[in-house]
Amino acid sequence: MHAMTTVTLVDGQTEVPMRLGRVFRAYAQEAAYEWLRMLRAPAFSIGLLVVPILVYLFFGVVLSAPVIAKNPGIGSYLFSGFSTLAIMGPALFGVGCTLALERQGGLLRLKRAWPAPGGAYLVAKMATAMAFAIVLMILMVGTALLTGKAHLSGTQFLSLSLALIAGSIPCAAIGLFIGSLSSGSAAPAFVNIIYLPQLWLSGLFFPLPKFLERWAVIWPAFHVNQVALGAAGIREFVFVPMLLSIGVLVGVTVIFGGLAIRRLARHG
Amino acid sequence: MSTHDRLHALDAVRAFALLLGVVFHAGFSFLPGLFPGIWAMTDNSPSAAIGVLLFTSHVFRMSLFFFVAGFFGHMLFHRKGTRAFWVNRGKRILVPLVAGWVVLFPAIAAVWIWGITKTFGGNPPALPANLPPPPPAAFPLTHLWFLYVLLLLYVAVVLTRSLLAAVDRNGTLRCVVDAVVRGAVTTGAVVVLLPIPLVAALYVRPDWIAWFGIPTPDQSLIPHAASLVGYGTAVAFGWLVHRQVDLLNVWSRQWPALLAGAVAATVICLSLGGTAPAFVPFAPGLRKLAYASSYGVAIWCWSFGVVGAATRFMSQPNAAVRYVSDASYWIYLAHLPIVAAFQVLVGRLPWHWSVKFPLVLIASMLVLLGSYHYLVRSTFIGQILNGRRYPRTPRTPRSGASGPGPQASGADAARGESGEPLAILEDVHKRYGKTVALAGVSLDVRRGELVALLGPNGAGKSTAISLWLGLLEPDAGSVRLLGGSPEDVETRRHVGVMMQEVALTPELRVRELITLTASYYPSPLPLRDTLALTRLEALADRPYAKLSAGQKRLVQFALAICGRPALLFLDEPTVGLDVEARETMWRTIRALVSQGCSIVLTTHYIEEAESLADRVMVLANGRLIAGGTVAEVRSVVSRKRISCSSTLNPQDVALWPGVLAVTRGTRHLQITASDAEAVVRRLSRPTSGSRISRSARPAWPRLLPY
Repeated sequence: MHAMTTVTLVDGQTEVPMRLGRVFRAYAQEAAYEWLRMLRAPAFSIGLLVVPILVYLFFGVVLSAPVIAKNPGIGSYLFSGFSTLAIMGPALFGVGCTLALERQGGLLRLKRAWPAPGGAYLVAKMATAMAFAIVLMILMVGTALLTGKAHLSGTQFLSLSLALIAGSIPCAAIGLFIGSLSSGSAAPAFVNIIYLPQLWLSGLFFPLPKFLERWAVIWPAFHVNQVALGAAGIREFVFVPMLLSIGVLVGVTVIFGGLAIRRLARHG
Repeated sequence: MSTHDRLHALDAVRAFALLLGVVFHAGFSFLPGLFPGIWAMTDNSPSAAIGVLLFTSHVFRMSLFFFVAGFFGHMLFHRKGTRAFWVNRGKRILVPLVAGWVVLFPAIAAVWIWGITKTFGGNPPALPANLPPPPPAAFPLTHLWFLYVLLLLYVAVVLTRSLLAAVDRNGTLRCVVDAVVRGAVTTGAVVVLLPIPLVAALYVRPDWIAWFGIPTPDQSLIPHAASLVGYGTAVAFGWLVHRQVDLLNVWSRQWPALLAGAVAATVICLSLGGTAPAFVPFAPGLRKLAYASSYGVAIWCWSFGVVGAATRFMSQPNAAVRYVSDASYWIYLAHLPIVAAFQVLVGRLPWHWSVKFPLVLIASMLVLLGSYHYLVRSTFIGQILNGRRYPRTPRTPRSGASGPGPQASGADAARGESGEPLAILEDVHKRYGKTVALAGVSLDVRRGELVALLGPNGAGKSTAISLWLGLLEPDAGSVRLLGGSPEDVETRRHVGVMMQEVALTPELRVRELITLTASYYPSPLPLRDTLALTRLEALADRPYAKLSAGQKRLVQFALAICGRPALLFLDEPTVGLDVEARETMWRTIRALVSQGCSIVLTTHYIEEAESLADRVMVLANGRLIAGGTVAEVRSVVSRKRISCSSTLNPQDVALWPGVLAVTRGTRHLQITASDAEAVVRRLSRPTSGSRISRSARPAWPRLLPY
């Protein structure tokens, strides 16, 4: 009872605007707790952090060892491809599925009723996807260095990692779009429909047949990988101008992010 | 859009135009083909990409600024009158121009000398002998030229307006001009018509360096014709648009097309003029005409596209945008020596431009924002530049403070000086498909009172709350919250909400959920107090997923009150609570009301309303069917209707104790009774000659489920 008798329960300063520092703090809190809750969800965190490393170890290191021995450049190409696979997971599943679940549970509606800063929720989702991408790139680079299958310099590793971390943004925008459209139970299915085919059809892990090669450019994963390879200077596997890929990814971000924001603003 | 609403979108646009200027100057040293000595520093890592960025931003940033200046000029002139207009313009433009020049010119000169010395290793080359002569009335206005030109243009516009007002006494000419402006804007022709004078002025100028667009009038007190025509058109058109503010809404629909046109026109300019600046004039001919025309169209497509997008997305007040808007004027005034100093610092470093350019920009912005925050915002400089001096730290009641002082002030302020209710629904209609949720409902909540909304499921209670919270829009009628729009986030910063069914983040602990929600509010309760008020201390570290249903409701209640709301919405808050938890919640609700909080509470339980509410409003089938104090409503809802076949005289029955009204139908007597039991007993006596067919039915059928 002490609190009730001594605490000012009502803020009467209704004319005083929120200080900018508090607005930034709200953004930071939202992002920090989004990150925390994702880490605490083992279904997401273990799946998204461990599985890509295992996949890379098995397919990109062990099974590809003979090919890499003949052409060491393949090791770098595979490293980039599997890193692309890794960073796309949190961006698509982490953003898309949690958004769909939270929409379904009424949390977004409640946040709209609360004075949550307009973009804080979406920025938190994006930031978490990028934070996962950072952790994944640290793990991937560590794995590559330990196994010695990617012959890249420190600067190349750094450039490639930075490009992929930035590349998680368009993927997160796609995740937002899926999450803004689908129900919580349907979202994983939709994400898989988007995620799995494009991993293979983008030619991230092996050369595509000629008839599929020309269609690789339609997949965002292809362009994310191209930007990463271009940033690292692995010219042998850069097939389209880097500016074109960046343009496509910016377009994907604007279109899917814009559609998601529009839908969330209208329907919550 | 009313002409008296604050135009947040255009505040943001003005800030955007000014900040683009900072970006432009921050990138200048990286322009490819820049001769050493033209700028304070010529960077050793030039960039074509920066060239394209700077070209694009420079196409429209100043025209956009002058357009907004014309718009706000008209607003000020007509709100304050001629004298106040000039006093205001003197303070906001002339004083910064004069005082700013005195301080900034030496600083700019010093940085330029430093940069040129560094560029040429201490041996700058001699000036070429064939330099053109200085223009008449030469004066180095620096980047403050825009203030000087703006003052000249205001003089010209106000004189023209006075002349027109004298000639056009009945307003016919002004009506025609308004109609032409409206037609040009709505059809989109404005982006082609408005540039015509500028295109002509640029085309006839023999020494026009086309890449830099409208020549910058920073060398002389007599501006050249092209800049006066270009920026004069912008100010005049802004002035005219404010006569019909709703035209902004046209651009808010056209903005995607306008921006697409802007990109296309810019691409044409770049293809004709190149991505790197060429410091030689265009020869007269079709190419020059095509370039000038594309440039003019690009200016207005960009400008109106940006204004439209801002009107579409930034019309609501936003603290961050407001802060940047206020800061932008200072930032632009002070930026040039700072930006140039950072360019000089990094200019010879062996780094790539993609590192150096952001570094220059970020470092400059940090210095400029810091100087604004600590030297300007709360000082006389802020008073001059922005017309107000912000308090250093907003006054907030001290959390956890004891004694009546802060409590009394908070409550008094929450009750406020105006008599307007805090939340109003006025003749609101809302349908979901064919289902009528609310049909002409009017409700209000006054300061410091608790209003209970009673009604069965589907009565419209939650719809009413959703309308108040801006989650739904009414089909008809109006909704006001704390004197503003419920969609305004600034308004909702003083509103707490507890909804009926919501799944909070299951992985977060109770203390984390409260901390996160409290971060949305300007002056929240300390976590410790929120936990104590809701008796959640023991559960603070438990994940939300592991709480019982009743505990989850308490957490949701904690989230609703943690922001110290002036207005609180509680949608069936006690459903699922045990007696002790319900008592805790009721106690906190009473404390909130005693401190001036207004509360809207929906419930099925009349005893809950009886225990807490000042007023009760009863909704059924989307209509408000009763309202008043608890006692008044209880008396209404406890009425029963009795139907019987009887030979009794209705006038006699009307005199019985407990009978409120009697009517005779074709076969039956209809009795409305406040004490139905006594009336039925009397009717049941064998001597009454009555046979009860339908007894003791509520007078408000199916009103309450209890």
